[in-house]
Amino acid sequence: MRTRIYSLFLALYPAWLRNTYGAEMIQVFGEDLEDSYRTRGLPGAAAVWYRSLKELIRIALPARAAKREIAVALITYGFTESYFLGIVVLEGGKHIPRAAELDGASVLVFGVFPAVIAYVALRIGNRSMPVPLDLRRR
Amino acid sequence: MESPNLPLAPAAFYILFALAGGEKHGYAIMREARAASDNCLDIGPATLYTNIQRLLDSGWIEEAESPEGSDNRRRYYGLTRDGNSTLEAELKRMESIVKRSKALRLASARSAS
Repeated sequence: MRTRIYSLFLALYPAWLRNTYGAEMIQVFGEDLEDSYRTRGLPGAAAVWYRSLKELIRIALPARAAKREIAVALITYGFTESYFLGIVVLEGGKHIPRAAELDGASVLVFGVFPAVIAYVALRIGNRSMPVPLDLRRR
Repeated sequence: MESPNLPLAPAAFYILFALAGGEKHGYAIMREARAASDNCLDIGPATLYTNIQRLLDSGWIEEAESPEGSDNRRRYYGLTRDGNSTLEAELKRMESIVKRSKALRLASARSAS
């Protein structure tokens, strides 16, 4: 039962970790829980659960957040590009803009730039949850 | 000259340290790492296996053969030569810091008296 709950946690971890080490993680968690309960009773078991929750916040959630940042940047790009196209159509009368009107600078200003801003803003917002991605101390 | 890989993150250091005593499976590594750090290292399964994967990628540890009669669901890991040199370099770095801090303390004690 306890390891079943932990295996639900696993669904939130990155796929590579879950697929490569999922079974071992469940086994290690089960052994840790059993040993801690045997030696320290309920406080020991609670400490193991608490540690698992902390890992979930420190490792699983930021990995999900990174995906969200990319998604938001893409949506921002799509939205601002559509907005720009709409303005070009309205201002240019009743004609659909030719490819020549959509020059590189416009694409940059009306799509890439807001998308980069959105991505950076989210990255900065997520700094409170650092992921230990590097072996080297930061 | 100091290696660009140093200083190591605490979890990576204690995993290498745990494996210096011989090949171990995940839970044994975790227990040994906690004991070596006087339980200061807060390491659970996710931290353990995230670091194990990075150490495997760096070539500092490798998967070892399971001992006969052991639970075949467990994977065993051992230090490579590179991992051993990295651990030695980190230990030397720590040793030199301790020496320097002792020298500083002596110097400050002399200047105070």
